[in-house]
Amino acid sequence: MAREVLHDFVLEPGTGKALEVRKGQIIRLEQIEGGQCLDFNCFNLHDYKEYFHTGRTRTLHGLHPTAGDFLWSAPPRERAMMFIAADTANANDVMFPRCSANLYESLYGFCTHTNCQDIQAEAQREYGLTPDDVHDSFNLFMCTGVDDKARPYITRQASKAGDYVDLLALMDVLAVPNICGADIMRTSNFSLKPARISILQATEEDLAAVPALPSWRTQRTVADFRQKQIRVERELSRDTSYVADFANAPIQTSLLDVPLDEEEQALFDRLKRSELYDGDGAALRDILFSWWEEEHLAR
Amino acid sequence: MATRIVQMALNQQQLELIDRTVASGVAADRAALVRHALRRYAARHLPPQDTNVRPDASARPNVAVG
Repeated sequence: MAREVLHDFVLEPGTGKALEVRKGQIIRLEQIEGGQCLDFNCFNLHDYKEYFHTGRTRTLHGLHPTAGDFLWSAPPRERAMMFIAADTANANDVMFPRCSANLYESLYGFCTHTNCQDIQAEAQREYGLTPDDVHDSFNLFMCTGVDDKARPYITRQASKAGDYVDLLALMDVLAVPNICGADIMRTSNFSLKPARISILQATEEDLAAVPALPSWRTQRTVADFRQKQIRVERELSRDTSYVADFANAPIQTSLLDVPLDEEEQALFDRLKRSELYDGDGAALRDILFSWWEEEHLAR
Repeated sequence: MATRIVQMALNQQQLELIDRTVASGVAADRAALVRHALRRYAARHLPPQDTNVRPDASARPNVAVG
């Protein structure tokens, strides 16, 4: 079954566009010439404080999310906002921050230069958001890696005309793609090019391809917040009625005696990390929880 | 060599996880779980010639199936 095309346009270099993408719709970001990086922000359309989080996404899917992965919102929400339904170039990044005006001034001497922070801010302004609401992007068509000294790097990309990424909305979102402003870096092979943006109605097959996700109590909403009101004033002032209420505080420690037989002692003495711990108790605790992680969190 | 007692300091959150794991049937009690973890971790991380560890019969509770 063909997808219905709801909206289709060319996103020009130097620009971005805020788009309402409803749950069950797909935004396709497509190369026209090839070799163009796009930055992407998204917000819960009904609560802009819930927004895409590179850190959460990076933790779950690694540095290069691709088809089959999700775009997650920041804690304390931590919900899947969008599903990467297709990715023909397999070159995305959630490691690098968005480029900014300061980057181009401090490194290249520009007073004004296209940059993802400012393009995002200008596009988001259509919905009343401020430059402070721009967040680090899902960087599409961006080839990155980490070198042998643990430093991140960006290199040239090989995306071709017609390559695309499909993002399926799992909630109503404000989706904001922009053409990355970097024309003097390798990111987009030293040029700025347009991209095609389409909003498509997902088919039943598209929706059926989204893996089921469990729901967790800890995927919090405003209803869970003690402080529900968003501040309006920029000046911060102390709430004189505030009483701290941290979960599980105070942390209380108790002692557990663990008898080890000869065989267990021998194993323990070989396993314990004496370089980290002075006492046997801490070393045995390390072994216990290391085992637990391997047993329950293995990927 | 006699039995050696190792004293572990654990907070309430760590104990909660231990107790839930014990309740899942892995071991009879907290101390047995720690010994079970030690043996399993050793079997996985010590060289093969050192992992000829006898089964830890005491760790698993006697759960009748039938």
